[in-house]
Amino acid sequence: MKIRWLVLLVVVLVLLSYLSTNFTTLNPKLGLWESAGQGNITSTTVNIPGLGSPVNVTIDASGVAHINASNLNDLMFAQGYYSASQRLFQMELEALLATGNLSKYIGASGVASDQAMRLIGLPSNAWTLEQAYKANYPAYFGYLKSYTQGVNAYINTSAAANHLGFKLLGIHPFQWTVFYTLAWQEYMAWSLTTGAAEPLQSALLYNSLGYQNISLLWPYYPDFTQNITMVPGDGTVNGLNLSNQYNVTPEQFWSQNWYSQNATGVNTTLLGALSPLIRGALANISDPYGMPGAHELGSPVGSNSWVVNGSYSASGSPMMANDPHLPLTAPSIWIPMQLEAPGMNVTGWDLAGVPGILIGHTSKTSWGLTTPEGNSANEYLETLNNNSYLYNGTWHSMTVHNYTLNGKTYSIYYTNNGPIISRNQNYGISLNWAASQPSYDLIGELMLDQSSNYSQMLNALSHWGAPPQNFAMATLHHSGYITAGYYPMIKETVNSTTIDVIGSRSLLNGSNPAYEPVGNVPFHQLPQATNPVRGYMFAPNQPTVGKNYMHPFVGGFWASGGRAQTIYHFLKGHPKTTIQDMMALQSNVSDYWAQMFTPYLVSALKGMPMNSTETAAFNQLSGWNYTTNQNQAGITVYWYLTAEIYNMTFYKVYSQLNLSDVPTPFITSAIYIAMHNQSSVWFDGNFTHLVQQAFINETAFLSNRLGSNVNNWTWGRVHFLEIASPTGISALGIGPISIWGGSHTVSVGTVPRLLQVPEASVSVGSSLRTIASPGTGKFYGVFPGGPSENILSYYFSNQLNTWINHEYYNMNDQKTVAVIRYE
Amino acid sequence: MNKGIIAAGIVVSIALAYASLFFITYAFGAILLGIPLMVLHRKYSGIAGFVIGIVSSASIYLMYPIASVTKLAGIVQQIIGLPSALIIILFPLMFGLIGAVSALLSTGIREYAAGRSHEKAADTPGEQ
Repeated sequence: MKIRWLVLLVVVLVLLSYLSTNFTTLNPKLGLWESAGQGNITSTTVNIPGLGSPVNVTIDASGVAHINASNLNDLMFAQGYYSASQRLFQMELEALLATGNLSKYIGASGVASDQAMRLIGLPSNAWTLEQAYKANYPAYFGYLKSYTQGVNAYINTSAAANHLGFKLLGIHPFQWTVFYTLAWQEYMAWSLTTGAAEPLQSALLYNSLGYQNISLLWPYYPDFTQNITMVPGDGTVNGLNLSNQYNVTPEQFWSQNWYSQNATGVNTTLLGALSPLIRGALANISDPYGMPGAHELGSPVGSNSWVVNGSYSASGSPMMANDPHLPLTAPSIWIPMQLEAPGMNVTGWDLAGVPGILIGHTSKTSWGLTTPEGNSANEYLETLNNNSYLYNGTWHSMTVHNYTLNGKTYSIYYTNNGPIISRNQNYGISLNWAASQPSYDLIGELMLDQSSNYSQMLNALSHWGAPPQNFAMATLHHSGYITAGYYPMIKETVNSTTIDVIGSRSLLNGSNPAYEPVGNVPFHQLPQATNPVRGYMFAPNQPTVGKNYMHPFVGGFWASGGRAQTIYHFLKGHPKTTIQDMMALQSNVSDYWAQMFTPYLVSALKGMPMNSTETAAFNQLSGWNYTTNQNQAGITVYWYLTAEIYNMTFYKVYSQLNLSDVPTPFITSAIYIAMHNQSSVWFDGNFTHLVQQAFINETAFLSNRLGSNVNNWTWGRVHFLEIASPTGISALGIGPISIWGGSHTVSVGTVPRLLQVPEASVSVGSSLRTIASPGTGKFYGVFPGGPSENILSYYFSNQLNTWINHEYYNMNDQKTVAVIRYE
Repeated sequence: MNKGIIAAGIVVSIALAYASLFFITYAFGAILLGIPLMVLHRKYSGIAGFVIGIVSSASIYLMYPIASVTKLAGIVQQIIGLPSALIIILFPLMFGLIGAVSALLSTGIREYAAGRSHEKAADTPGEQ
């Protein structure tokens, strides 16, 4: 062969070799295809260095792992190993997100999120908490270490790097630490914290709308919610209330202007000039990868829970139901499992990356969580001069923390109240978040996991810190609620009486010691009730407690209460409640607010001249039964009609006032105005004319998009569920799937009120459903996914269809499909 | 070339192909499989390198459930926009091509070296 041919072949070989470096991910053995071989779970024995004694992991037909160990440390170790084997990529991605290191994986597009996480303080809080566990609770720190060792034992296997996410990104897993577990706990706490953004948004509304309008559109307690609080009654807790502790009546207290300078210490004229500063704060603490709508006035994110006394249930035993509404992700944030060792036998759902079971049951106790929507964070207006802040008439130096991301150095400045989250020359806003104190939630969780009676559960929850949660509890003989956690109190004065209140509705004066937090609400004064006389309690994010509560929730930014109304009326009408009733209520897709509002809409439309399409749409609306199933057209007519009403009223005014970035009012405010003042300026002076015009616009729009046959305007054509992958890669997600539900239905399918087809996809919903009756030994559950993060595995979404169909798995009675022995 | 040597070259080539697939992430690991094929005639070595490369690489897919492979290819198709069949065959194709060029080059080097030694022998006095 001639030399020039040889040279040519060398050149071709070099070129091909260079080109081939782009295809390493597709290597059949060492590339992503290895994930194709990891779909099944089969019985096997795994040798794990570091494990003390053998552990059995039994996988049942629903995909739930039952982990049985001979001691708690091995149990935590095995939980860590098993969790990593199912969810390692998810855990590491979430750890990077929570610690503000996402940009290390995804580059510049992660920088904004990393900045927000560090500014809010998630990594620093996690670090503080880790030191606090080490110093004060070595036994619990030991459990955290055991879990971490289990995760790392899996990471050290060859299988770890084969998780599809690592393969697609071309990266290897890093070693797990206790810090990552605690950072993820902090992230979840932040996601469920009220008070981080709400006072800022309500300050913007107050600046633009004034006190009269904001009181009408955003009342302290949403309209129609006064009688459906979590704690039944007027707000009295353990015999204590506002009237008997402070000699101030609820009427006196709640007639105050809680936006005023007297309430906040901030001059309202100055506040009016600070809107850009406030908007800066909102932007800086928003996490582009966070829960959509989590930090929002009137947040669309919510959850359901209720308990029924033994005296009110058919079996004579208490029952509990819970379905926390969280972003629906693929994989889910939950892993279902049973943890069993001497001293612990608990079944339920574990947050991937965190030891223990957060929502679940033992043989004698059960519990669930919802978010109470009262402030556990507050924002302070700080007076600044270069690197100093003014406090109590004296200038103090701010402390500074520097960090580097993508080669650029950033600084965070702190006052006595917390980090400065926004600054404009001599003013800044600081964030005072209760989670900056060590919050031993994991102790509370593990004590719940070992509980066998009601008082042990209460004792466990005395350790819970941030975020405050409504704990629904049912045991063999008792049921009830407590809103456990840190609620910082602030002193306010009414009629010369100083009252310790929770939160604020606007910025507080950070330079004035009078507005500093004065401690957390004592445990026995937290909202709570046991074995309520009426037989049931419920906590779907409505006002936690009535207006006579001794620590009034000035910073209470409650849900509208539509789900609470449905639950209240259902339970009231179902004495001798059965498990089937509990399931029916969790599956309920009727919209209580629509039931209230529709008669006013129908009344306004009656008698107007209509074409054939409008007549058909009117008939759908007037004949609608207020349910939101996929085959219903009535809900479509209702939803788009209210969307257009919002377009013509609230959206229009908000746009004129430059408030487009602030949530529009609850539907209850529109209903209230329709009931009490149809000539309101909010309805352009004529409710009937407004509704008719909106109806004409709506039917023209829907005819154009869905055709003129109104019978085909079914909800299932415009309302879809999408379960997204945390990677943002749509191919790794699930959906779109036509789905039931609405923003105010118990079985929720929240979408924004927009005139678009289809509506924005449902992305937040019941992340699990559980019903427990410890007295009868009946436990049911389901969640929209499976234990595995491998999209090729049956266990990636094995429970999804059961969840969509509102069916359940009997958690006591599932066939064994595999037994894995760790030794 | 002796048939035994040719057979041995092919067996070694196949072994090296699998070894590189199991231990080298990059498709240029196929260079190894071409080297033993130098024992083949130029006319066959390229074809043999290509066939050994593509078949050995594609045969790895048999380790996995075929449904999982096609589903994963479908997912990757949505991410990178290439047809799923191409996604499955791309690496084996590249592996085969590199194997073929490597085999051709190896044979060429052998032939070139042999030619040079013949020329050298012809130029040496007393060995005519």
